[in-house]
Amino acid sequence: MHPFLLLLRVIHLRHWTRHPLTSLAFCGIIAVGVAAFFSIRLANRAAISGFTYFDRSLGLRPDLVLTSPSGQFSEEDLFSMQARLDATPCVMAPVLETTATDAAQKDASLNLQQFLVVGLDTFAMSNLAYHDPDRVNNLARQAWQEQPRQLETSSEAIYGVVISEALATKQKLDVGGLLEVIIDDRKTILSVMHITRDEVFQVSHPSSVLFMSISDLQRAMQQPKLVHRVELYFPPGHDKKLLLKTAGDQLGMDPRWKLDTAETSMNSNASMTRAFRLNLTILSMLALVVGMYLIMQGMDAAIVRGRMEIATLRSLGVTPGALKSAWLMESLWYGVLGSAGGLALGWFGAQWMVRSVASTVNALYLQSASESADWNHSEAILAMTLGCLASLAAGWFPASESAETQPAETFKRGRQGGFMTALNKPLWGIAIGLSGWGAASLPPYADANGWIPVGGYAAALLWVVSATLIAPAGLRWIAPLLRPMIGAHAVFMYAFSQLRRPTGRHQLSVAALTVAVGMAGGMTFMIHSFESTMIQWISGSLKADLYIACQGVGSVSSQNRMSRKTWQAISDHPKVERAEVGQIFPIEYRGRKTYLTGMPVRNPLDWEYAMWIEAPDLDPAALEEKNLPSAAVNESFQTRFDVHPGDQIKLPTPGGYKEVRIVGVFAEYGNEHGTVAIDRHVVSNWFQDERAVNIALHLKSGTDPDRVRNEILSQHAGISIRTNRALRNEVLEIFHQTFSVTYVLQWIAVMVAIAGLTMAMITSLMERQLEFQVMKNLGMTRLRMAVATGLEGLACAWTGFGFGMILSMCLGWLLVSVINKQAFGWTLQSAIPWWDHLRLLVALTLATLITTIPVGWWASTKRMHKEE
Amino acid sequence: MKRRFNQRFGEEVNTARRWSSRVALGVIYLLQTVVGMQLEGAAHAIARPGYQFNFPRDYGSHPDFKIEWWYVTGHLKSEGDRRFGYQATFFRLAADSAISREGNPPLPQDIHLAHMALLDLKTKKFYHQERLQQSPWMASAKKGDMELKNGNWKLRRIADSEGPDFELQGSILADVNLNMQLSASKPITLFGNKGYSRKGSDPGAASYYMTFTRLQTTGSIRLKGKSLKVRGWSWMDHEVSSSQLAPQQVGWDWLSIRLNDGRDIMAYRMRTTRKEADPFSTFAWVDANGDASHQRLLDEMWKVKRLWTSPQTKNTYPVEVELNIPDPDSDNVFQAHIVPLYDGQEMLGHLSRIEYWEGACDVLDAKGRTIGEAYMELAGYGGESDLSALKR
Repeated sequence: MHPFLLLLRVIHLRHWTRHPLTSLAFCGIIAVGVAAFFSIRLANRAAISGFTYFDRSLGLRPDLVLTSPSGQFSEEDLFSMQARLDATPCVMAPVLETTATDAAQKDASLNLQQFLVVGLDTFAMSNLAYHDPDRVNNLARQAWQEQPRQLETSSEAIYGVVISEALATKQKLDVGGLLEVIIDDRKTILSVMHITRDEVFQVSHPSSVLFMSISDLQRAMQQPKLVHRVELYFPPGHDKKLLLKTAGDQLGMDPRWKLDTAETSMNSNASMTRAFRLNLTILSMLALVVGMYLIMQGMDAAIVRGRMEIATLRSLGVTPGALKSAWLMESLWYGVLGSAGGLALGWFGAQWMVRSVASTVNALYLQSASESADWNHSEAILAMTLGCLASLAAGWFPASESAETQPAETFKRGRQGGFMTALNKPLWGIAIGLSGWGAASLPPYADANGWIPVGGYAAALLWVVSATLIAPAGLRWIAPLLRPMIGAHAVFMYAFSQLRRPTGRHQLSVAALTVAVGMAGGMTFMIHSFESTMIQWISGSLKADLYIACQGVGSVSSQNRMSRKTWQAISDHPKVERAEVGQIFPIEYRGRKTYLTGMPVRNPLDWEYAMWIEAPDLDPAALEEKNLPSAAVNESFQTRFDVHPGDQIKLPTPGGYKEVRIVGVFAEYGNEHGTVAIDRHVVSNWFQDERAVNIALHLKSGTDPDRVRNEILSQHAGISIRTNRALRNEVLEIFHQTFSVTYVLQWIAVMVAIAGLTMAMITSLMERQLEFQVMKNLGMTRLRMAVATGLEGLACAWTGFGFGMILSMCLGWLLVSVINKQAFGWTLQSAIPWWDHLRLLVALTLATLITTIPVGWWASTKRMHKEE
Repeated sequence: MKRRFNQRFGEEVNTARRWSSRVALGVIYLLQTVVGMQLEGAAHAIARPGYQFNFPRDYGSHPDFKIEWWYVTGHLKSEGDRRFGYQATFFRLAADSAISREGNPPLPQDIHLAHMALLDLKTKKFYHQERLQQSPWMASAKKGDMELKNGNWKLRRIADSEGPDFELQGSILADVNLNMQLSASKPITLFGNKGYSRKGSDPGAASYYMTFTRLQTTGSIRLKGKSLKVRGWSWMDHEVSSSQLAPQQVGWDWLSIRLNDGRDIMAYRMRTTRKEADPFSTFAWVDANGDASHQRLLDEMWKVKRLWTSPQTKNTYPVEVELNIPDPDSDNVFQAHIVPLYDGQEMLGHLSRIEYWEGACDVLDAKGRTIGEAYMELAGYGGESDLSALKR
């Protein structure tokens, strides 16, 4: 047999057969790490691909997409496009989108599940039959078996709709069935014209997407000429490339529209969520990073256990290289098997996560239709590679140490030591930590889509490494620290005696816990700071008595609007003292998506909503002279576009570009893409649209808000009304919902670290069987030995927690003051989450005791000869 | 009959074939709904005898009528006598006035169906495409003069020209691009009774039928990246109707012939469920002045000589026929053997689901000599299709 294979058999096969549970645990750790990473990547991908539901569902992707910087086209623009295209053949398909709420939903929360309604020019789309004739021929023949149904036309309010099989099943709908939805503030009845069947092994038509004819949707929205984008499909054939080029030249640089390919259009949407996704991806690697420490620790244990055999093999002439390769091969096996398990686990996890990620994306960015995550080979390969690399990296140091130690030295050191003692260099840790400060002060990397806080991420990495090098040294300090408090009880003495000369496993466990607690605590710090800032912002901004919006309007992706008729009637209620009508229009400024909102007042200084970061310092005379509307911008807008009070900017509107003057900067945490606020009357006039996104009512003093609420609700269907308190609570609820994935990832990391600690204890106890036997012979009971083990584990856990807390403060500060500021443009006020940290400490303590005491009990019952 | 016509037509046009996958089918169903709503129960004008034609007004659209089409076919040659046949048809299908065009917001306006085909005899390649659009975004038909648009397909009268000259612009996928000028060398012909053409026993089953039988054609074809100058002759029909077929009529065979001696022939044979020619089948000789003389077309005048079965649709078409009709200039029977330049000139109708054969043919005499050129249309041979709504 080849010496290398012999080595594998002698060392590793024996290890696997004698310690199958340990090996499985290593694989499990890698699996959890890979699963967390893979599931987040798939969920992210699904959330982004949710923007492209259109081509995914219809099977054809447009070649070019025309969008308007003002967010909307009218039919007149279509004529202009047609004229430009002239003799160039293409299918020009206008698309209109809105959101709708299921009228049957009783839940009145802000963040209701919404339908995305896509209005298509069915005539134009049908022409695509000639773009894919073979497929169409076959499908058309099959389709002919289904009898077309005619819509009952007795009522003009009934519109045809195409729904998914999932929705049909969920709502028990069949062709001809009626679906009642709320579009804007009106109930609309849709008749199911067709149900798209799910297909096996493909992402199906999402249940939240409804397809309608564009003319029907325009009627339902009472917006007869509104078009959101125009998709251009070029026919296949010899001259297709030429046609695309010609069309590009013809449509070219017209300020009325922006020409994108399907890919750039998708990327433009995807770029909106880049910072959010990047943060999630980095967070998803937390479990893998913690897992690396544990693999390292496990490999170290195995090497220490096999050190005598290794020394013997070295004496017999086996080269260090062969030994190292053999150990690395074992690491790789853990990586491969663990990653394979992680991929399966991750795929299932992604199905859950995608809803959570999509819900955050909907709340903060754009309507995403994702409901399930598709398997993706490239993501799977990436996750597998990462898992294997993590495992190899974790095995590298132990393997090197085992191969390079001289046999005589090994015999001399016996079972003690381990490579970690060689890495136990706190001074190095301090130096690396200091370099992290330098990295944190670097400016962000900027590209067309925004900023990436590379310095912040580098600082986080350096600080994690630094904590890894410093924390293990803490184990030596904890025993002398605790000694005065606990006296000289035998159990304590025995427990802490282990920490004076901690093994590599102890040190690695502490390092892993430090990292897990530090990173999880840092995220908690950031979330808590965010929450505190939000609460303060809400307190300052939400001062009205009642807040009214269309049902389901709780996010920037919602497109439901209240008609002027409705909001005027509400404003005229006798108990209303003052009504503030809010409007919002998505626009594109300097090639990036942002929002234009209508302020209820002409003078920004009178705007109660705003919490000023740079308060307006108006010069009315100068404004009058230039006849420029005053604009207030939020902090994100200021950061993204580097604008300041006094600057004049040009904003796109359906009627062309309009100039405004920035007079102030306000705090707002609703979206990271920025907001420009201008007098509502001006905005309404620019967009010829008086629909409101919401309306805030200030009631006359002494009025019961609930009574007015009920009165208005009885007169207007399709709207929801919240009192001030209810709105505040719901905003915070949505806030927490957006961090649901973060919470899960944090707990996964902490649980992995605790599992690692338990494994370290098991390994350590197994190595100390002889010692246990002696203690038993000296009269130490099993209970005491179990308690001693528990205390030993607890000391490690608390050490890890202590250093983890320091790391969490550093990372928290980094997230709040550097990464968030650079990526999102938000100024957050730091707030330490004492209560959360205390909960973590209690949970950690309990988990450690629950796992280590039984391990100690079990170890004390084992007979020595079994191991020896 | 009118209701049945409406219903059938609605179904045919509306059952535009689905073009892609699952949702696409749904899109088509939505389409059916919209068109169905527009065509069902409409109240439109009908063709009546004694109508006073006025040009260029009647070149243009007649929006009071339910259906209208402009139809151009022709034979072309490029340098080196490379032969081509082409067809361009623009249909306008009226929105239902009862549903309201003026509503707020209004429903889409008229629906425009169009066909474009090119036969390249050298490569024996038949290119064809169908278009379906709604006005006014992508398609339109002007009232008052001929100006038609369906995407980048356009047919218009050149207003400042001396005679009735026209311009045709078209394409077929990204393989073919056509640009042609058509100049009338004969005055317009009004078929039927001074343009009132009966198609069935119901007085309303009729159309206004105007034709340029000879249009001198010049222009260019860009075929698979190569541009070719072409010239030849074209035929242009324009028919306006609201209802024209009887229930027992299942299809039609239609023929346009340009003889080398300067005379032209138009013939159509309305086929009944009993596989006979309907009494309203007719043929007409067109003289040098564009005047037409009609006679009833009998079954024995139209002999099928050869059948061809489409490998794609499995429909069998009588692609080769012999026409035996009285010759007004000689009292003899005029015999013409109609031979297709290529058998596979079948329109597959992915959108309208109307499969029919429309092809360029040679006209041979009894001795096998070429005496003219023709275009023949064979409709209603698809087993599952009911084509009563469309022309011929």
